[in-house]
Amino acid sequence: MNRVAVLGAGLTRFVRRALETGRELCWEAATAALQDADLTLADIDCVVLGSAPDAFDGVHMKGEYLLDGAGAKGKPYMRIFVGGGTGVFMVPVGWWHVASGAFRTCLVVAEEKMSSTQPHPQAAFNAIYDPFTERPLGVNLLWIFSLEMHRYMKTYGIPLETIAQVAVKNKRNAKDHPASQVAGDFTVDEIVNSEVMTYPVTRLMVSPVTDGAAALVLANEEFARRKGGKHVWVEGVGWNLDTSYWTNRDLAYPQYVENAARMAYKMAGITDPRKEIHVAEPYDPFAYKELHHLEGLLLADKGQAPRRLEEGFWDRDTLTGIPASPSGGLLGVGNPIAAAGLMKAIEIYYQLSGKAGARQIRRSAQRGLAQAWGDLMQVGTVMIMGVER
Amino acid sequence: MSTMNTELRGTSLREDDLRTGRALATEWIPKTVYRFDAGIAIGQFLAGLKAGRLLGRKCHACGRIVIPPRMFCELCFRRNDEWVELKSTGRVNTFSVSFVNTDASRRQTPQVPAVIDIDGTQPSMGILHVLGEVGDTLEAVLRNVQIGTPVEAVWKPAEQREGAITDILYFRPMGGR
Amino acid sequence: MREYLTQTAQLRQVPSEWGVYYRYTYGVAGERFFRELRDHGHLVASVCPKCGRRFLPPSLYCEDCFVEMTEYQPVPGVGTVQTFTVLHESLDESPLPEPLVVAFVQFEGVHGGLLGTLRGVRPDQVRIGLPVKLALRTGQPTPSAADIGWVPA
Repeated sequence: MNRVAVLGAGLTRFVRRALETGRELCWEAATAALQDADLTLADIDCVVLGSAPDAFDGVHMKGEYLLDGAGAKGKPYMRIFVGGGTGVFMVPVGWWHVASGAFRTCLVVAEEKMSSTQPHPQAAFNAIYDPFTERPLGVNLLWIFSLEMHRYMKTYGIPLETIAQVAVKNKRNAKDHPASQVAGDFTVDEIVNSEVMTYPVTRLMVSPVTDGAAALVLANEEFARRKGGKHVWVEGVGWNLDTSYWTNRDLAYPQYVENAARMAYKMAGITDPRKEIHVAEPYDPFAYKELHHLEGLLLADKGQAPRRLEEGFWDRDTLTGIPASPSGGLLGVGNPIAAAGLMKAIEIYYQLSGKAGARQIRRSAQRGLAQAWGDLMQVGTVMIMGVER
Repeated sequence: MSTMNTELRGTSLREDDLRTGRALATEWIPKTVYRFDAGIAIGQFLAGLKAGRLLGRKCHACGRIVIPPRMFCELCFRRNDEWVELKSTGRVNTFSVSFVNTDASRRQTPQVPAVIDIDGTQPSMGILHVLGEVGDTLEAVLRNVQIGTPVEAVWKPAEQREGAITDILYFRPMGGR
Repeated sequence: MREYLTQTAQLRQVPSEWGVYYRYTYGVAGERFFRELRDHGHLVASVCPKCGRRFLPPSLYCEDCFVEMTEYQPVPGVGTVQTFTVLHESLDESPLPEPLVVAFVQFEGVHGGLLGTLRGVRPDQVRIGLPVKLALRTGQPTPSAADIGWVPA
């Protein structure tokens, strides 16, 4: 297998409704990534694109529609979709294109234009539920999160105020992210007392609806070495799915995230993640999810991620802990589904290569991971990057 | 580049820009209606609901009784073996107090969706449904029900049942409030 | 697998509507194209600074050079029918009062082309290569592709 390096990344701003069409968003991100990598489209051997349901952009066969904005005209190309897990999963997808030896380089693009869905994208999610056993009950997307969150809180005795701190942390971290949509300074009280959507979920604990795109350039070792410099490598990839019978599962723990993480750790040769992972971007569409996922990633014991949060263990400027979501995450930067996950993977690239600017973590970091989650609480996707040690 | 580019592209629009035509957009209403076949397992499940019965499927290889029922055991990856009637009682595994309708509009009184672990399933299997008779404010609901509360199904009268999950109106705490 | 029933009307069905509709922004290039159409009554193409090709409909970027296109030029007044079809039924399969010709038209020196209904000529008189010009349907508050029509030049 070839080693795979990250040569560059690009993002659009993340906004509630973009003027640009989905194709134009793709081009803006793809072209920014190529510029960052100091390459042209001619250097790209294949393209992979991640985008969540066609139902958001409102274009059937969205992957085919977007491809010329993603630079894929006349190239080998595929569009991938695993719900919210898509964005981070695009790194494994690009990785296998290059690691297999089939291609020297791969342009990885992720896009979402959710603002097309009217009256609100939430309504498009309802079709995820079973038409017989679930939909007739008057389902709403938020139910999934609030049911899972409540079980998690109750199982481990986690107060709402602690969970709210994730939103405070990430929205503050996002103030330093140029793409961010919903960054700001909030207090725990403001988060907890914001409008109750579906108890225990309050409005400020939810990531927004967003349009945006992100892109990454991957290359094999030979190609990367020609470019010179110290590189960031993709060292581990993992993905795993659980059944769609979500009501039969233990909602307090995302087993499929652990399964995906173990797969990635094994590939990366990591036996002690808490020592060997120095920065993390766990998927945070809702405040509690970051904690839930940090446990699934084995970076904290079950039920202990909230305690570590209170200790400052996940703070961006920690010297002894593991900074979590230094980007500001979905809660702070925004949630254009697939592009949000790739944004988190891109943050690991920036952190490891020292390019994160005002968001640069204080502790030293040679390896980091990003993780995403989605579908009907089914998929865990993980990617690990590292610099030469 | 020494840091990431902070001059990002992407043009933000306000809702107003589209309403006034400062930015151009076109609308499309898809006329799609789906008709779903229930399939063998759910078809039987719905027939059971119409008869006022809650049905599960049992796999003799692993011994699990699964609900919602399926014709094959997804763990053993073999066809499972028999229908089992379950009591329509259980325990609240988790619940939410929802002030948001299915179309994202706001509700004044809450709906209480819940995962209910059905009695008699081993390991315990949950189904999605709603709780009723638990109050119509957030505070009241949180007083009246907790995770772990035993609940029982309240069925529609036989002549109103149609073979749907809504033949059960809701689950309510057992032994009254 | 056995087919139990072939009369689908006999099946119990659960109809399910999705309850969403869509609003699509025209985008950077689309805004320019349709505003030019509505305000000046002409078609414009975008020009690639690298390869020099002109694209219709215009785009923010050249799909091959992948560079931004900021220059727009009007398209020649007369184009030619590249291909066409004659519609006899509406989308819901009801017969049209008169057959309708839809033509894909290209313009000299311009990459790409546009679809539009071709009027002012009998369907049996339409041929590939027929010269046509733009016949705008005007007066719509929001310009759209439906405004674009052709007549013989």
